[in-house]
Amino acid sequence: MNVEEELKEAMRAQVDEVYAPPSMGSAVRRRRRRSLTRFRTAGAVLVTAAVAITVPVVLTNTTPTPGPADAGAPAIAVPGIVVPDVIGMNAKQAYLLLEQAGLTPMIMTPGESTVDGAKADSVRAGENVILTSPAAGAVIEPKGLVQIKVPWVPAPTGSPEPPVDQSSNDNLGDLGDGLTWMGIHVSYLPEGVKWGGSSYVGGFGAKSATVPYVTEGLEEGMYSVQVIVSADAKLLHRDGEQVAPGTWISSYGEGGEKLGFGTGSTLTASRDFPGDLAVQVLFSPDYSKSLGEAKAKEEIAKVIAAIRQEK
Amino acid sequence: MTDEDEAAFDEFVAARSTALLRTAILVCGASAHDAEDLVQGALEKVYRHWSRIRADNPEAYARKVVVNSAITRSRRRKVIREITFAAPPDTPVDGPDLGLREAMLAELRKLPTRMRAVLVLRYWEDQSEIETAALLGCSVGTVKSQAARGLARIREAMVEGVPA
Repeated sequence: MNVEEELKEAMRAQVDEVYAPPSMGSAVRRRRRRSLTRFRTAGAVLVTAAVAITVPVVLTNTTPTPGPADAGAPAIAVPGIVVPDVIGMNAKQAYLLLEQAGLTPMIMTPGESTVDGAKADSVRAGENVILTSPAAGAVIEPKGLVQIKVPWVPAPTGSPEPPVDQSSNDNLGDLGDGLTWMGIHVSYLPEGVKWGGSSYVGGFGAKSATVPYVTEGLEEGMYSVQVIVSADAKLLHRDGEQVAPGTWISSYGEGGEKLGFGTGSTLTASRDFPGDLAVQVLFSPDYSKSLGEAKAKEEIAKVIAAIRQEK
Repeated sequence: MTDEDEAAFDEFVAARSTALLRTAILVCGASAHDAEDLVQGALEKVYRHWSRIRADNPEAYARKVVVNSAITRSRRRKVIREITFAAPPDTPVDGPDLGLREAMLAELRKLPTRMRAVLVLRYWEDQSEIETAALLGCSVGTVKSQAARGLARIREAMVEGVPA
């Protein structure tokens, strides 16, 4: 079998047992017209009838929230299975146990975000379960999906450095105005952009840090302008338009592929500093869009040109 | 909205929401709960414009909303630290050897969201390259290159995922 077919088969196996809950139609209406009291009983009954035909065995992954609108949803008696407690157990044993219990286990990677601070090659997935979703004791449908999570643990070989502790000390602390850090000074930012109060260490290779800058009213966790400093030369994208000696500008997609300016790509400026220091400036897709292409490119060039090394 | 519109919407939901939910799970990386929320949101948009779009391929519209909100959601989540270096650890998750299929799915989840969306649309939904490009609002060339790169990474995982 070729990879396309294998992949399709794997995807099929993953979602084969997932069915939309019969209350979907009413849930959508509830979202749409929360304020309206009128509820189309006739419509809900019709949903029930139609779903009963298309989905012979109704298995859902979530329990519909009880509410007045659910009065119209069908009451289908589903025999439940209690999720056993497998925390601390070897993931493979947990997998088999859940499978034997009539559930559909799925071992999840610990999540991309938790590994950012550590060097990618210094961690591997651990063997013992730290979390299941739904948690032990929950009653779910037969063959219901149970996610098993394992932690990242330091790899036995590789970097002698332990993974960076994610809890508290993986940032640069209080940076004051947030413009001077890791031996650089950000002396120009576009109007309305200021330090957002956060910083991250180690996400971009050894001796790296990144600081996001935000505009007024930006949602928590988002950035408008982000500056990354790293000793890792991989940070330099030399394939962009060269705007100054050792400075390049282009837009890249999520996978690092070069794209045109626009939605789905991140406007990125890279600059090669003396002493093996690479600096990258990113304008978020939303922020770039708000400026427009010409202005965004002009501003990013000014930001990167104005970054200087502190002696 | 007329009663007939409402009834047609119910039929549409009954017939298509499972398929949309499965696609959403695959695109946003396996959380059924999140996926359901996403599908509800998408269907709400469909419902809002139902009388206008019901005659004009509402399924394609709903799929587009589902896929794009899955991409947006994932991008918002990881925007801070993984913008240009979206590649998580190269080494596959090699804890328990769960065989080929799990290795492939694990690799699929590690791909950048857009690349994963391309693979799901192309190989799960059997959408053509042109349809996939239209759904994602990108060029056919991008679909081709993303699919090729995604498959290459999955293929590597297959090789490494096979128990020795």
